[in-house]
Amino acid sequence: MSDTQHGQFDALAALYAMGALGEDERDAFETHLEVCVECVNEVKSLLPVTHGLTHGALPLEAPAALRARVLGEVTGVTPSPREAPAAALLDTRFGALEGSETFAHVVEPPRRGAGLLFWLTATLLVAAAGGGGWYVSELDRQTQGLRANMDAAMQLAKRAELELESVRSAAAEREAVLAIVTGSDVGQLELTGQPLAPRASARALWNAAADMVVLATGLPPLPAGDVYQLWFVLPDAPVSATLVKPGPRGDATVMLKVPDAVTLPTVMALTIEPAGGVDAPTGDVYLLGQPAE
Amino acid sequence: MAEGEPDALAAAYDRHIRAVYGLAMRVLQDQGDAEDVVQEVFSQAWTQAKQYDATRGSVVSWLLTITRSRAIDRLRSRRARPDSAPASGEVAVVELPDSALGAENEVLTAESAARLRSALSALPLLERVAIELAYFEGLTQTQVAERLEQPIGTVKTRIRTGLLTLREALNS
Repeated sequence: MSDTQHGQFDALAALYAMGALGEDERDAFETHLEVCVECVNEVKSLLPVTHGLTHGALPLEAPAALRARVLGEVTGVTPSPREAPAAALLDTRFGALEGSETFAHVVEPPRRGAGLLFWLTATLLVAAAGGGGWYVSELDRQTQGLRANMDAAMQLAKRAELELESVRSAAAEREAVLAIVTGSDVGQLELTGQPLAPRASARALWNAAADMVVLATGLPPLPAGDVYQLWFVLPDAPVSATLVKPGPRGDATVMLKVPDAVTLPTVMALTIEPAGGVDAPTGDVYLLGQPAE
Repeated sequence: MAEGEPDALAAAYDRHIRAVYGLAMRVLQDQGDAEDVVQEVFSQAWTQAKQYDATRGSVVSWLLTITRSRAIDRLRSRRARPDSAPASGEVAVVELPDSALGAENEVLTAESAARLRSALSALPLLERVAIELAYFEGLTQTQVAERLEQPIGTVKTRIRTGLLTLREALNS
């Protein structure tokens, strides 16, 4: 095997180990492997990586009903129940004891009804002591009622004020978005859903003043404690654009100022990250957009 | 399990279901499809248990290899329209080429699996995406290039560079 011929296949060992060659390419490479020890060794050295990648997915708890379905249908035998792990066994044995009636009376929490009965009795005794005391007490009760009503009214007014502010803010945002989208100098980049979010998509639009709006749709719900983070993927390193929190239907509209260091168009990506965001992307990619070449 | 003992299959299920189901969900992103794949995996393991060779790798690696293959099969049949031929360049799921080379699988320890996961996360974004599309969706380099709208040479380089980085992390 001459160096020239080996050179044609040198870069394919990694793709072969990944199973990423098309049928014809794979056949040709396997023919080459029969005569090239160097490529055989290269593939062998990469196999632990490609096999190890099967362990790269996060383990997940399967639905409990799946066990009986799988084991029953595969073996034709009704499966015995799963053995309880040690911790669960301890809970089963001792948890029930703690909640049993035998111990319930030992440490009994104070009952609200008992306290109320005490004060009602005391109030009646005070009332019986003199009519003037009862009158003062009744006035006090009415005053407290009025004060509670006033607090409720104030809260309603505050809520209405906040809603009005929210509507004003949304209207201003819509105007700003429209100004970018309908401008004569608008640039745009489509971001497409990746394997984890095949139905998601987004469009980034920007103007010459470096105002950008990103309209996303179809984003999957976020796990608790996570947030979506948008990135400008520059040749040197990704630069964070902004955090994105979609609404309940998976839609999001975000506005941002493009940093000076970023020259548009550039690759953009949306990843999932811990709440508060991170300095460099670490999570899975949900959206990816590349400028046309 | 090779003796056809149902309790052995139940024990294997209890021990490895989280890894198998996690991988099936990673590829398919659909609970119903992932459950069907789990069923296929354990069915195949049950009927082919005598072919399992402990010297070539752990049980979980064997189950996960079957899982990847079955899940990608299902992903492709889901992608293909019923009235159309397979997409251009679509090939049968490529089994990872261990048997052809007689290479023994190394048993991956929990520590090295974690190191590999961490190294994958740390790869440059586009290298990671290219590797994940090829590995978890079973796309060829040509299909990855089409999906990412990038030149095939760029994709080839990214997958190779990424894999070499992962190999270095695994061996470190």
